[in-house]
Amino acid sequence: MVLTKQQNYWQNLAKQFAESEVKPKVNEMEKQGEFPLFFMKKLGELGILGIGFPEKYGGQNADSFSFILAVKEISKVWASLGLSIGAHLLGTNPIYFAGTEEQKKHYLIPLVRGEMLGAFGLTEPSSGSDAASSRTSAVSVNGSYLLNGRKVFTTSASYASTFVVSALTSREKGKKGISAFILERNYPGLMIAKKEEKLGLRASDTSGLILDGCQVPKENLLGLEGDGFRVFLQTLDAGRLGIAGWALGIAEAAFEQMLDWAKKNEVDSGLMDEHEWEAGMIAEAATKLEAALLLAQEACRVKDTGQFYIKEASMAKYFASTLAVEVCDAALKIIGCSALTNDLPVERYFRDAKLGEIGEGTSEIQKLVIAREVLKTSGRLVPA
Amino acid sequence: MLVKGAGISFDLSEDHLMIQDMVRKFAEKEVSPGAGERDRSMEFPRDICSKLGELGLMGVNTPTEYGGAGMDSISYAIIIEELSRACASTGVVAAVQNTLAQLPLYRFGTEELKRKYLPDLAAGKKIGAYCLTEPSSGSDAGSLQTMAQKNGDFYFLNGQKLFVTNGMAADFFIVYATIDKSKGNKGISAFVVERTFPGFKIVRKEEMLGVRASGTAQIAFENCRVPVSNLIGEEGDGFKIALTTLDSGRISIASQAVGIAQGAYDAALKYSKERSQFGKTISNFQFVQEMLVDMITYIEAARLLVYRSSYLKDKGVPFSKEASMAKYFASTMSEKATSHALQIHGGYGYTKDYPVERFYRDARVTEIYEGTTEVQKMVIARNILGG
Repeated sequence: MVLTKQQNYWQNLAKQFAESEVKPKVNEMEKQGEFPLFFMKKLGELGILGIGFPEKYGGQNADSFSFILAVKEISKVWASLGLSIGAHLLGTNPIYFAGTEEQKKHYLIPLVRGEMLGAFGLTEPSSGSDAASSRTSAVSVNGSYLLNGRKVFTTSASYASTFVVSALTSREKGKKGISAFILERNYPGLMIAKKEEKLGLRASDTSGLILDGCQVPKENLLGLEGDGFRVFLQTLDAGRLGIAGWALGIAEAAFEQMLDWAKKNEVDSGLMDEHEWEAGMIAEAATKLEAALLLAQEACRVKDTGQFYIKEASMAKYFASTLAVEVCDAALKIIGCSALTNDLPVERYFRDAKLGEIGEGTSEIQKLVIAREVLKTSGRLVPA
Repeated sequence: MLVKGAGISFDLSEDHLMIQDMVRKFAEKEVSPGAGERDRSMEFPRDICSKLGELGLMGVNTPTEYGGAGMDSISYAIIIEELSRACASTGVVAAVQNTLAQLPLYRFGTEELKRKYLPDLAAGKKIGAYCLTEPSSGSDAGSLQTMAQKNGDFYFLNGQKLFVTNGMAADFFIVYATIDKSKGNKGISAFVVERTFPGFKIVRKEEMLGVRASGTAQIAFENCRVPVSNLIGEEGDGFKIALTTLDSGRISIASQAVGIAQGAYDAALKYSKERSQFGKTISNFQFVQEMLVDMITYIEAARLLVYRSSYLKDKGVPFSKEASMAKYFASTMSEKATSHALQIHGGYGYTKDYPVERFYRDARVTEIYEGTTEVQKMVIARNILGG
């Protein structure tokens, strides 16, 4: 794959940081479930959190694919850290997309610089894939909104300084009644609920939010009342690209373990006679890794031209997250029993990868999105 | 292919149904409740082993004269499936106890060995384990390095064993070692080693992706002193004993894989009827239906393969190919089915609030232990191609 100078720069910077600073800490922190707050600050200082944002908001003014490559390199070393970056962007992008200059100055700049940690509260106990059915309400009272409801699976909630959350300003209007708000951690009535114990990504924080008459100043409404659904969809498009990069990082990491093992066991010297089966798995993974990266690159290209890229983002996410699970599985198959113990990182990759098929829209939702877009554009499947 | 002797039967006997009902109730009441906690703490289900022993489920195929239940192989498959449906660790613990630890004894052991070891194992009073795999010998069991040197009334064992299920809790170990490396497979011999024998050492407990409560250990023998009378069969019989045992072991693991998948399917079916999105329960969505349909179709097919291989085993005809087919199909199916179950649960499935993430982790090892999927394919290929 040919990368621009800029893309190379960000990829290398992230790789270097991940290899030299993050890697030595991963096993211990993941085992303890220790949130990588320190590394998030560091990523801010390095500019990695701000890769895709304009300079005037503290960003690096680089292209979307530079960011995806950086996420990939970091996730390759530690998926929990990669996911924390993704969640931070979910809490940052809505402000960039819909915020006033005042909100951008107050929130966006410190978020982009990593001085604040962002989170995003959309999912509710009974509203997951069906995001439009959220029940959290926002009532306007004396210059404030009072928010009531519950959010679940809010990534980084226990550590975030700001939250972008959805709430209904009007029950009758359906999707058009959904609004977006910026909440600060210390607002009265905002409480962090139970932290989830998960299959993987133990150092990434997943907690609930309880909004019990949470008082939010009027000026913290994002956009207009009823803009929420549109803002969240736009945020999720970008988020899906992030997950594609994240999943690719895990897939590449598992692939490298597979290659190391094959080389150690001299599979390369016997490809034609005794190791066809391993050769087949390696070739399949290598081919799909290239394809996945190209899908992500294409989605980024369309995004940066300012066009809708919902189909491309869903394709990139669907393909990369399915692939990550597949490659982890192949690595377990090739390496065998040793890969099941925690002496090798493969069992961690296997546990982590599964989230890619669920978070920010399950694979089933991605397929529905892709099908809808493909049917809409009457069958022109391949971008010109 | 439906051929004479394939043993087609779609009804379980009254006895089989009774056993199924009894084990299912026991598993729901005694095994299921602590499964999540044991998975976390990696605590071996020692109490459950005792209770299983009292119920006659720890020596299912062991002859009654040695304290076993003397039941048939289909009963055994049912028992392992039902236990695994509640807790895969308990399933494999019981499988190792029943088959890997006892079959070598009741098939190949002297009368003295049978009398000495089988009754306590079958009663669940003592725990048994099986030591074949080594750091450099997994699928290629013939290349094992552990040495047994005879000196007077004792063999002295030296070497290391890996991935010993039940190892942390076991009292007795079936151990394979070679008396002469130059003899290859013909040098391999099998011994019963007690935990208390001098020179026996637990190196460490393995922390694993799944079956975390199975007490899987690394073991070392440092001049471990084993009485000559603890040799199983003759010197050089070990390879034959190992292969014979593993044929039956494959039925165990196939049953375990079916049980894990069934447990995951039950959870997913229930959840799909409770969870509503877009104004209807998610069981109404074709994607979800497709996953459920695939799961149950493959589960039933796998179960039939398990029953067929068990039936052939009971008839006393060769069943090696059929056991490998059952294990290959059931373990691959189980991985897919548990993944579907997790997917149907969405974000909740990724958390430890629901059992499906445990099933997903547990299913994975069924494709690896007691012969990887690839080794099963080799066995099947050899059978259909000859040679």
